[in-house]
Amino acid sequence: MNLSELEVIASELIEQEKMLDQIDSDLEFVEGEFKQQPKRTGRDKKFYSLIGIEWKDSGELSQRRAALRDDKRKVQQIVDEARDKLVKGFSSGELVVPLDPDPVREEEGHLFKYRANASYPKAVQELASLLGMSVPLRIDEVEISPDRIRATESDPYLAKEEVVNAFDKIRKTVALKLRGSRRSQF
Amino acid sequence: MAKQAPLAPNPVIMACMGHAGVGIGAEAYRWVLTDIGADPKAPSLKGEKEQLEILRKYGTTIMRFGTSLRKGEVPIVPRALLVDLDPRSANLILQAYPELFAMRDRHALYGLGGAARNWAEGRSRFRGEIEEKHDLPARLNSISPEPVRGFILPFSMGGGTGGSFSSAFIEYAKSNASTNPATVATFGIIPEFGWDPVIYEPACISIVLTLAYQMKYADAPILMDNKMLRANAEKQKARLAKRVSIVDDLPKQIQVGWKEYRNMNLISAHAIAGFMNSFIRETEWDMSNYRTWLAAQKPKFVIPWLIPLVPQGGSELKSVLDAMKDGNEGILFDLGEDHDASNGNPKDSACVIVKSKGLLTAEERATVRKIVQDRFKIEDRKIIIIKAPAVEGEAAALTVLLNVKAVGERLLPYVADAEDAWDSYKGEYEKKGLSKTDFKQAVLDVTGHLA
Repeated sequence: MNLSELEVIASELIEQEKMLDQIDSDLEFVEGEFKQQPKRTGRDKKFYSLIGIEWKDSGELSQRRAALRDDKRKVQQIVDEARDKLVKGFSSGELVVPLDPDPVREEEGHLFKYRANASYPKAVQELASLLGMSVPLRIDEVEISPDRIRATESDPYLAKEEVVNAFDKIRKTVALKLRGSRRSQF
Repeated sequence: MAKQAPLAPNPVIMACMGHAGVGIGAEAYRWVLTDIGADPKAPSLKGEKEQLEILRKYGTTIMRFGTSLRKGEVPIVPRALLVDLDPRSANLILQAYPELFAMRDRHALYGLGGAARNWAEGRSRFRGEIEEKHDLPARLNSISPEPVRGFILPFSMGGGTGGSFSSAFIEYAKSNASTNPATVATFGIIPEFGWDPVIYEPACISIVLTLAYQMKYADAPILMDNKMLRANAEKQKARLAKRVSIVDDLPKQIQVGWKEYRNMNLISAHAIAGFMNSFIRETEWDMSNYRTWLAAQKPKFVIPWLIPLVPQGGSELKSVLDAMKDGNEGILFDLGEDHDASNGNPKDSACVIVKSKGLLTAEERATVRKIVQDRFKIEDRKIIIIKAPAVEGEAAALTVLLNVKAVGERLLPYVADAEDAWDSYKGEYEKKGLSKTDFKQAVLDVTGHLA
């Protein structure tokens, strides 16, 4: 899997997570309203009786709650699937990080730009979130940012090795999530 | 004769960390002394000839000469530091063995009570209550005025004090010019969950952090687990009952929880004694050699296999084979019931310390290799055999230190569970100076190393 594919998945995940937050917030409001409903219904019934019109339960609130719950289930599923794809992608031994093969010397270390000057803000953000770290990610002597990777090693060959080692650590650590999810199935 | 006495080798200090570490460390000294027929309660030299003999047998590597109390007798004293936040365990050892731990208070370093099963609290209190308050360099110097060439640290990895103190101590040892050249060997014990009095999630966090420190600062990190120690202790109950333990000498009303661990601690002590035999007796091996053996290994960790678990029989290698037949042998780490040792990793290796009488013949070497290879798929060239002499009447024994890839797989679930638990406990750890970044870095390092 390529980092650019993970960027697309991460973007989708972030969007869906925002949507999930919005649904959660709406649902919280509706649930609150729903709790108040019996009290209000009682008052409403009395009022309608007083004014001589038959009272009808519109059922709007319960319909809205059901719709929101349904939305939540669907979005949650998309989020889970996207997160699962990210975990599998970052823990895959076949992950491709499209870096320029020739790093640029920067101070004592070396700077690797992504090919075609690409940047992967969402993928890096989600990777940091998976690892419980913040952006830029610091893995030993390697700093991973959305638009570049920096290694402190002054020798370019060793700098490349540092980058490989950092992604190897990332791969193995993210794979722990798969192990954890397998365990929780039992 | 005195003019020709051999030069004493550079010493090794045993820094026993936490409640379990103090019990096991003291037991290890007793085991070593009993092995060579010395009085384990009050070992002493009674003349120049005997002095030469004791130096020949195991030098003064782990013992030093004490202040003479009786004419013509020189006590020998463990180069031991008993370190705990709670002073009870060290106190008890000092009270029960006043002549063995003859340097009294200088053996003990203690703080102001337990670390709440919190690794971060233990580490910060080691720095505050031990390292700074007690002037650690001076204390090490009083235990061993000669330059120290090695440290051995027994400890439990699941509690608050043992793992954190060991981590802080080995970091200290490798970061200070006076102690840095020393080789560090750790004997970390993984708890048996559901049995030992530890709290699962914090224990997992403690295990991960302690593993990370051992990877970074220990030259020979040796792991054992209580599940296998308990199983082996149960299996060898009758034989172990015949050996005397430090627990037997402690006042009955204050055994500080060691009674249930008597037999397990004896086996742990045997493993430490077996390891020490590789460099305290007359061998072609130095403690520092372990550093190179493990420097490029992944995982760097070693697990012990004792044959026999409890010494029996004569000093010839044949008695080791008899012990195998009797089931008097055991690996002190749980490789899992489904572990297929015959399906090893090409980089797996072993270091076999053969304690027996006389020279080791080619045939006996082949026998030793076969014992290892019958259980583990390790190439001939990856088996290091270290011959250590057995003292007259001492049973022959193999201490097999295994460096196998399978160990990493067994540790990874603790790392996964520690990571899962972190968010719930992070407040407690951050309060005591362990940042989320440091913890996550430890997770990355340990996983990258073990997986």
